[in-house]
Amino acid sequence: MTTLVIAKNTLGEALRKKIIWIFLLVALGMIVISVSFAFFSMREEQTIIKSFGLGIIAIVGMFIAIILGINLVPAEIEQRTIYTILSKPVHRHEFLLGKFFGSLMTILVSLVFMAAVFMVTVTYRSHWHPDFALLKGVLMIFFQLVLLSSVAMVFSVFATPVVNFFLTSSIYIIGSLSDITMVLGKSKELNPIMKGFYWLLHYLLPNFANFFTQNPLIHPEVAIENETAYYLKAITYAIVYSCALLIVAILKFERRDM
Amino acid sequence: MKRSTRAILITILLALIPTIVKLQVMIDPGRRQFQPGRGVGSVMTKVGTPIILPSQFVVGTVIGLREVVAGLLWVRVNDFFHSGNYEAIVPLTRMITWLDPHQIDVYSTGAWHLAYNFVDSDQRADRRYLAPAIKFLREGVDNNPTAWDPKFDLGFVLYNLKAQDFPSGRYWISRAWRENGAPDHVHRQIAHTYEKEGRIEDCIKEWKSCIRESEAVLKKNPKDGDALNHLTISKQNLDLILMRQVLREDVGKHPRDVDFEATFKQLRPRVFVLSGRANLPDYARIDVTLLDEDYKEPSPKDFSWEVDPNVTALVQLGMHGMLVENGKFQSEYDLSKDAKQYPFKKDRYVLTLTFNPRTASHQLVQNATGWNGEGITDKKYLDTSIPGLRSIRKVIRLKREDIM
Amino acid sequence: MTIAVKTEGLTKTYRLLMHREPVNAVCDLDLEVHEGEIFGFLGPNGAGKTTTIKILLGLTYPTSGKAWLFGKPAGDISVKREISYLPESPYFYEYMSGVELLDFYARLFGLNGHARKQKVEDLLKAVGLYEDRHKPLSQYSKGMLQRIGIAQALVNDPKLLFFDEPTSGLDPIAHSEIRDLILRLRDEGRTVFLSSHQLSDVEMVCDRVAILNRGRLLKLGRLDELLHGGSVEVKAAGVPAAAVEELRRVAACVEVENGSVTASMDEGEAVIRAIDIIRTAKGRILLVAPKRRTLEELFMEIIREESK
Repeated sequence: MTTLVIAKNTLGEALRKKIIWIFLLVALGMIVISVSFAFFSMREEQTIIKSFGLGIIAIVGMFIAIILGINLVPAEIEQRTIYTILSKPVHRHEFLLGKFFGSLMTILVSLVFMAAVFMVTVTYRSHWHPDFALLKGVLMIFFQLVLLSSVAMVFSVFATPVVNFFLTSSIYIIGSLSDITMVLGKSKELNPIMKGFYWLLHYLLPNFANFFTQNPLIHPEVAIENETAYYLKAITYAIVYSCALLIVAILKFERRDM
Repeated sequence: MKRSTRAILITILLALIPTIVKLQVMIDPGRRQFQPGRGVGSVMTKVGTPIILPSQFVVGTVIGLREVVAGLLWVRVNDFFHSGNYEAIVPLTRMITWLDPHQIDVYSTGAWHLAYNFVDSDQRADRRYLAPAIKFLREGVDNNPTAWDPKFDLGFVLYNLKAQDFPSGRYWISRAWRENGAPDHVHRQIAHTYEKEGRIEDCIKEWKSCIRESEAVLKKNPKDGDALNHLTISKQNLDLILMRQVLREDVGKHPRDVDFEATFKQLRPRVFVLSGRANLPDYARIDVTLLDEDYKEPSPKDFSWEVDPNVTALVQLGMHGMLVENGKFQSEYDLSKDAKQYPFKKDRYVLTLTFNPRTASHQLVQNATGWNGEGITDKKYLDTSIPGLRSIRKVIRLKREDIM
Repeated sequence: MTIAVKTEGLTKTYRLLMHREPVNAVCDLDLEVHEGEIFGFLGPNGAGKTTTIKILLGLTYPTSGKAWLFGKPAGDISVKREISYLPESPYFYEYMSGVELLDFYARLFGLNGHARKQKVEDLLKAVGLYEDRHKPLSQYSKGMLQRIGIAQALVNDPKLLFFDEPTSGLDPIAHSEIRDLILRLRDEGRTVFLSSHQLSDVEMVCDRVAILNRGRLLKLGRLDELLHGGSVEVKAAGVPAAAVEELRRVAACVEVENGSVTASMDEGEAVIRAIDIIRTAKGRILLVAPKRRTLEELFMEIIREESK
């Protein structure tokens, strides 16, 4: 209950941040503007609009998740609002989880907003034949951002926002490069230490590339085997990994001096 | 936090770590389907291979936006197309399909550019680019096995229109027709291709098949516009074929003597005139090929837009051939402005001039010659080497000094 | 007598990366605060006052030593239901209005529905912000922010309130109102732990005080006892110069101003001797009274002594 109260408060505060709305408006503009490119065929147009739309939702979502995540705890400490909360009968983990879920709620609201504009754009340009399968892409983006938010949350417990921004962004980039780490982790040409290093990177760092599933949504002709199973595994991965990160954040936060 | 709670959390955390690893092991095999193309990781198959993507592509593919990067590049390609900068288009199309091999239109457009837009000063397409164009579309077919478009483009645009290799064209168009979502015009092209091959009975059967299938659709939904259109066109074409059959019934009874002759005359280095006579109806076309003596149609095994700079291949087929008017034909070829496209590095060349009735205009020429040349003959240059076809063919062997 | 706050050997040491020497923010602090009293917690900047309060509230963990609130370890969740905290220059969520802020804090205490609504309304009226309840806090003046801060500190009807510089930056009228409020709270049986630089305020309201410097407790006791220095002041007029010189031998301090003499001395024999000197010199005794220091004087004296 306390967690929910703090979550709602976090959502309310976040939705009043100008920067979030600037990001969202830019996203809307870019989604809509993609229809203005010249195309040879309707399929090309749909390909561009879908790939742009999902790409923009992913990028803007990522920025929103990072901006929210890096300020989750530091802002409260800097503004000293945390004192009046933690001096109340609020467990530290309730506070942390409340901030986290509030951040997720903000991300969800942002994604719903962008997805609505995206779906209307795609549907309008396809002569009002909606392609609801695209929402699977948005779902994957959401869970990717759940994982990203967890990373930002862990760092926010002990790092300043600037340091956190670089740490979280770096983890995101490395986690998106899992094509490379996957190959190098199995390479026979590398010495065992380097191979082990890449193996660790691939399996221990959060793998954001698991959620890049937009290709078959952009190209409906592409058939995917065991699609539902893949989605379920990826979502489970996001949830399990996020739980692990939240535990780390809670353990660290419990011992932190305010 | 109590110590016991802390201990429980740490235990849970330690248990989650192998779970995470296990989940990732389960996810990895399935990821390939969602991330096709030779992304950044594929260049690392050999350790030490540098990443060859330009930096903006790396950023895009790194954060999972390869489709967006591909899309942006495609927008750029359209700009280049509108400004006529064809040289820039091909590498971009290659990059796009490298990033996202499901961009079907890119294969079609890229292949078309390769086959048609590398031209000399007189707008004659560079034949050497046909093989890479075919290879590029074959790649599109392999990467999109259930899509009808790349198969159709391969069959119709490249084999039929460009190479005039109608059996290969029909093969690919038939494969396209078997895919889900292929429109009716694909089926109609099969019929047209039979006609181009001179297989008239097969052509008629195919038109009848088109008619049957459109009638079956209309039985269920009489208002189906596409089916109605298919039916109308198929019926019209069937009527035409049957009418032509009647018209050309007797064309082989008294074949005309084409009395073909052709000469090559050099005007100056790389500039020559081809001229001759042919007792053929006006608007007949004489195909011209000027090739290295050892020229072989390249097998499109490896894609590269770097064509062999030592090969000379001038090919003008069908509508691009020399026009016959009043029984004569003549064309001046000034290849001096296009040394890159026509290097003339070899010592010997083969110049072939051909009249192929199968590719001739229906009403103006084929009504006189027949589909397969039944209505023509020639004392010197009649060619019956292709079973079922009577064409006129003269080969002139040249040396380099004859041209240069 | 119930002990509201108790510390034993409370120590907080910070080890900072760039410093070789660790910083002792609080050093071996022993103190007790009785229930129902107003306890003043004084010290210069950096004395360790805020660190101590944070430890008591469970916001910071001590390096060693212990602290209890109403017999339960400091930081215990159940005891937080009985306490509240008004930090120095409190910041609240600026996007919220007054009513939203109090509603938020009330929810943290698990107050629901009508009870919560009523509580919020009563508090807003009590602190005089009912008319401005829908204004966002970003539009509140400093005084209004302080009042809403007090309101949030009263949401749970706490038995123990921690006030850290509650009058900082306020005008004299607001000062007075806060002082009155603190006294009212004591009259209601609550305990107030007041950390402040405003020695005049502390002197007016506190029952007991503790004085800290550099993390160490220098003085602890009832205010009236601490301020009563054990000295007596004798004031007289018409005392000739020779008698004044005699007075200087028995008194610690003799001042002559406008024909009157003021002598300060320890109580006891010296007072009797001084009175005799004045009467013998035919002087007129105007006043004999115990000398009371101000808290500021006591504070400065203690700090100076400690610095030596």
